[in-house]
Amino acid sequence: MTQKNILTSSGGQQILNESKVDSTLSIAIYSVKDFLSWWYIRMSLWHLRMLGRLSTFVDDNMSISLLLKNFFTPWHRDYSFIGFTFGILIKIVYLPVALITYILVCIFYSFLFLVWLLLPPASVFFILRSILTL
Amino acid sequence: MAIDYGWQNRTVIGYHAKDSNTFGIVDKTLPILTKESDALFLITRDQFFTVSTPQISNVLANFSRYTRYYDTVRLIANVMLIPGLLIAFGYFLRQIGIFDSVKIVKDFLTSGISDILFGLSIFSVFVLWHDYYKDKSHPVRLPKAEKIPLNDLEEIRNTGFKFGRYAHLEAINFVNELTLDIICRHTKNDTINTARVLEELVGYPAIQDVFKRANIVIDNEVLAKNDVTQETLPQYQSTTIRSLIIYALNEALLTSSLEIQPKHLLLALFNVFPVLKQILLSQNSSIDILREVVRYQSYEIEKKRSLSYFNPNIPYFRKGGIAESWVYGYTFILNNFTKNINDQILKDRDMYGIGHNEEIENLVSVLGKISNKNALLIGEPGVGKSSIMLGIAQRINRGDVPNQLKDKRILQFDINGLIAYSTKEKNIEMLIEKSMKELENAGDVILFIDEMQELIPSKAGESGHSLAGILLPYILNSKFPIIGTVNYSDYKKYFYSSESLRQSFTNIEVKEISAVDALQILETKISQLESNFVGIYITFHALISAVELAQRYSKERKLPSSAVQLLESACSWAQSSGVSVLTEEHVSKVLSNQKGIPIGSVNAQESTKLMKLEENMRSRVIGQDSAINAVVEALRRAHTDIRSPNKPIGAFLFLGPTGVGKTHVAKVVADEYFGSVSNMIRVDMSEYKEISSVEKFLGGSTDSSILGQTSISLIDKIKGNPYTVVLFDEIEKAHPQILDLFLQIFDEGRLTSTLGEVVDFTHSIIICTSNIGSLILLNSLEDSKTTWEEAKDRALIELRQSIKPELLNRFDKVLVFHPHSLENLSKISEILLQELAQRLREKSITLTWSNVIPQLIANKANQPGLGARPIKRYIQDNIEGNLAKELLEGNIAKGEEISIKESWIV
Repeated sequence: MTQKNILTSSGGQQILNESKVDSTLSIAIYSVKDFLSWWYIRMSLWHLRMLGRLSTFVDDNMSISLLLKNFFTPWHRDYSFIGFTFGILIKIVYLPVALITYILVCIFYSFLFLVWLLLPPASVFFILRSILTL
Repeated sequence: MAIDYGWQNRTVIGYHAKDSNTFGIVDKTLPILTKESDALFLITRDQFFTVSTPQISNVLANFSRYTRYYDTVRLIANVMLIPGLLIAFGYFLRQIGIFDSVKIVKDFLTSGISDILFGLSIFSVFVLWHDYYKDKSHPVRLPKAEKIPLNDLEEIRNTGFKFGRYAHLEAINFVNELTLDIICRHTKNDTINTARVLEELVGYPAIQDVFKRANIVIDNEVLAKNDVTQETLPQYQSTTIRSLIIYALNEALLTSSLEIQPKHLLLALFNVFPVLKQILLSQNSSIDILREVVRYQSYEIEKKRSLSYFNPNIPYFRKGGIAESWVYGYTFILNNFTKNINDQILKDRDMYGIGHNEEIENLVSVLGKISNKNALLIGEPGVGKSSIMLGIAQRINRGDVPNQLKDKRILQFDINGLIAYSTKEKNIEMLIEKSMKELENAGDVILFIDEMQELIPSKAGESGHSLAGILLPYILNSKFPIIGTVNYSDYKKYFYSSESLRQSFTNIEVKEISAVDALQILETKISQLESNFVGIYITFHALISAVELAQRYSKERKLPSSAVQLLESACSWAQSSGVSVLTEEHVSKVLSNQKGIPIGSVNAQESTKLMKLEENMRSRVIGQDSAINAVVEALRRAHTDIRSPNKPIGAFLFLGPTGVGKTHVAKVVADEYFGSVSNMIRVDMSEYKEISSVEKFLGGSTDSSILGQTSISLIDKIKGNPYTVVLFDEIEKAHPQILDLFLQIFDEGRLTSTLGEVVDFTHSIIICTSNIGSLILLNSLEDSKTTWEEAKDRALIELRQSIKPELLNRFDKVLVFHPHSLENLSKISEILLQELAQRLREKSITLTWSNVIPQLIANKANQPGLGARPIKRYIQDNIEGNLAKELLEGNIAKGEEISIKESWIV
């Protein structure tokens, strides 16, 4: 396997004097591209990470995975009939509530993410519509 | 002792010369590349950084244009917010019918113009949002520069760089805007004005903070005074910016920063220009110290980042949740005398377990086992055994542990709390049984017992049983992990002898951390100390000094505890003394006061004292100039820190007949250097004739008699006062195995007692005396055929036949004391009379004598072969005796003068 030597290959170095000055238009185009890539690519990924963080937060605070993992563990590790029964019963009541909360939080944040995606085109649409109704 | 900050082998800077197609490594001297065809690159363990020329030229050409453009856009967006807010308020008021009567406003708000303006202002919000959050949501992160394995470094040196194995990154992407702005503003007409860059950098408050912490003053005045001006600093073509960026990147990687900031550019300039390094040296500083200060600031910034659960860029710390307690058992009783360490450090952003990564890894693997999860952390006091547990708790909170340890909590057992709580309960055994059951049932508890040896002497209330005895069955059969800490001597005393205890625990040895880890720990304490001791500003030199001095002089406690205690004492002293900036001199002063010996750099007063030491000693010790020379040289080396720190200050063997002043020299050294004659430990080696006396020497006497139990061993005496002269008298009388112990003392400056304690001799002066060859030396005085030199040689031959050569070889000097001549004895008489006169002066009586008296005493009292002792006895019997008689008869009263009569000298 030949190793590409970045420093000696022809794509390496150019003479410094030939610097390219960007025009205002190209700067403006770049800033629009930068804005769009930030809003739709990088922030989308950020929102997905945020969704993951929110779900971890809800899971941690409501102890959902912990209770699922220890579904059959008796109440406060009291290995008696009452301990087992009470433990399962309270989980049967609590877990659906916790899971519904978890799902609602995820849905809500997904909705917010959708709003995020639609905000720029919605505001552009609003402006264009206002211009047309002038 | 210089601290090794660990900068080496984390990065390698290489260069490539395109013309000759050669690669090489940049060594200590950092070159500035002026040829466009040359290139610099930087390699870490996993990455490879370059700076391409097109990027630099692009940045130089366009950075300011882009900056101006974004500033304009930001301004317009901010301006557009105002009408947007007003229109939004207007929409709201229209909805509730307020503007129905004001036609103009109503028309405006229903027109398309207001909608357009409102839409544009909404868009401005998006623009500003992007502008503000683009760096916060996706912060630039430099990768961490781990140590490059030595094999890889060897391979690079021998066969060159294999770029294919690294991830290629562009250095320019990690330069922050402020740094780029500085470079671009001071690059005009293809020339970078390095002097201007330096002047601007030096004026930044963040950089002045660095200088303040490093206790140096660098501003434009200092630069001008050191001839660092625009005329003297070279100006380079803009192609050299590549070099500066690579060097600044190097600094950013070494200081664990997330991006290349102006302070890294400053460090790069200091590295490149020798004149700037000189300025640092002249202020007793260095690049290493500046770099460490910058690294500390990176740590503080990282620590201050708010602990927000909703920031996906920072790790999430699990709290456990509302239902966590449902799956784990109650610990009602246990909570009364235990402390939850996980909760304790939840809000604490400090790092724990620094320098003990290996021990933490070992402990995590022991705790992750299926059976026998108990571990015993064994180490000297102060090495950080408890800190390891806090480190584990932090990792559990972070989720950075194997699955078996997730959701676990560490409860620290409070022995005194248990005893106090048990006063309420009549039956402590029952209490312990219940709490152990709680522990077994809980399922999520790791029990931590600090200073486990405290269990043994602790008695359980009225029952009188030892707590250890009650707890032992639970420890041996434990169904929950137990982690204990103990020091070496207590481990040998209490644990080693019990097979079952040894089997129940996995031993993890906790070693003393390195000086640089101790420095990092002190750095974590700066903010806490400065807030506790209000008004005190701690310089970096004070931290470095605390670590170095603690490592050297506080051998009874290990790092980091010794350094932390010293720093806290220094802060406390500084606050009470009104000192606002704590420097290394203050730390030395505090330690000197604590230890009672001079420590630290030699100041004018101390150097005068040391230079006069020889003169002072000669005035008190007559006729043994070679011995005085040798000892004074050793003391001077000790005080100026030139000597080896791992050996005693000096080790001498004095030979000579009795009464020539061997012990007297030892006493004078103790008085002159250590401040008092009581700073001398005298050991009569004739007590160590038998092999069984080795134990007595090492401090573990099996003698069950009262004498054996109460006798203080040499080890105990040295531990009590390591700054002392240790005089081993008549070493030829000791058993050879005892003398073998001296080899460790001389080579390593320490001795290990039978209990495993290490005793430090590095601040002691060892003087051994021997009477070997005395007869030869005495006979030479009477035998006119034998010269003194020949007698000395023969005495030394006899010495070499009696003492092992490996021991003799380890003495710094073997000195043969000359028997006293009459002239010397006369001078000794004079000195003894002076001492007598001093004692009488305290009783307000003046003693005088004529010049002939000392000579008469010497002539009268001299007994060849017995040295100066007969003189002493003579003065005691004849002079002091007669004086006592005069006093008792009332012939002398206070305030009077008495002269020594010649008739007293019979």
